[in-house]
Amino acid sequence: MTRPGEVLEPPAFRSEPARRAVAIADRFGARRSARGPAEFRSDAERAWWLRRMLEELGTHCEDSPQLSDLRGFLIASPRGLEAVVASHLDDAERLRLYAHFFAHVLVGDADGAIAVCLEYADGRAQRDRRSPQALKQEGMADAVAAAMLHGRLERTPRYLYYRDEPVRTPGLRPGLRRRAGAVLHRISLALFRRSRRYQRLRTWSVTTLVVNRVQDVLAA
Amino acid sequence: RRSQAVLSWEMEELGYHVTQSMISRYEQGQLDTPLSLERLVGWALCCDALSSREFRELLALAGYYLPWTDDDLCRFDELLHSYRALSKPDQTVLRRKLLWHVLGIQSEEADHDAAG
Repeated sequence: MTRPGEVLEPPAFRSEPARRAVAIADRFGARRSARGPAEFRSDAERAWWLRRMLEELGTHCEDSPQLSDLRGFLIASPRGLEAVVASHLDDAERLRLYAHFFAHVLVGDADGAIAVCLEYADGRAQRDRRSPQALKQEGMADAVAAAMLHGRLERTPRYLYYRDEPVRTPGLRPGLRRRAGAVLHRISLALFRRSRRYQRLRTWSVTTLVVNRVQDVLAA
Repeated sequence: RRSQAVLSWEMEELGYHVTQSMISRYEQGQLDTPLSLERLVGWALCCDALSSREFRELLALAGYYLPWTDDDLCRFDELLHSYRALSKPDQTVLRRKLLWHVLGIQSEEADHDAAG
């Protein structure tokens, strides 16, 4: 609800991957809406579409028949992004993997630095030698990917996708509320990056209700 | 340190024909034919030695240049070393992809080179 003199601007996206993540979540979440039939008929279609989104972001995607310990991996370097997926995966696994890779691109794990994200096949995780820091990043990517696939981005911090623009509203109080909101969003993002417990907490419906309520109060 | 047989096999898997006897003769300085940049990088990749002093000296001697800092090359070596626990086929796929990144070749060019 706007007040007299208040101009509400749509939030700006933080990056192109963020814009596409919101589009993905909207499209995957459409099956729960009453507006019409689901757009995708199968996981194969969803996986294909998600792969196309990755390719449009400049990620070279290909399949490999040789992978056994890995379901796939994502390489990032200043030369670009490359995603390799095991050929034997079924459509549902492929969809989850592309979503996971997309989440890595979104959260900035692939931002120009040299990095490799490995996804181990079931039962092969004992070969996993990743550091605790890398495992935290994986946890975050898992949480973001799950939110995208279910069309529930409200389960993840807003600042992953949007960059809040100042609202041109007269008065000291709206500015203070907005700053308080910005601080809370930053705290939420920092917690989300570091804490698996907080990531799990954000998947609860009651948490989403509380977060939305706080956002509404601070934006009022 | 990789054995010559393993190194030869890994180089073959990368697409480079380098036999065990060739490796032996290169190591003993008996072969004059210079290695291409791609083979040099492939060799260093198989030995997790991209950041080694010897590799840098070889590049300089051959007049080659890689646009990576020492930290970047260390990072590549760390990645390669940490994934030694993977099965051989998985390591081969990963190593092939990393090779193109180290050489700075886009994937489409790499596929074309491999096919041609």
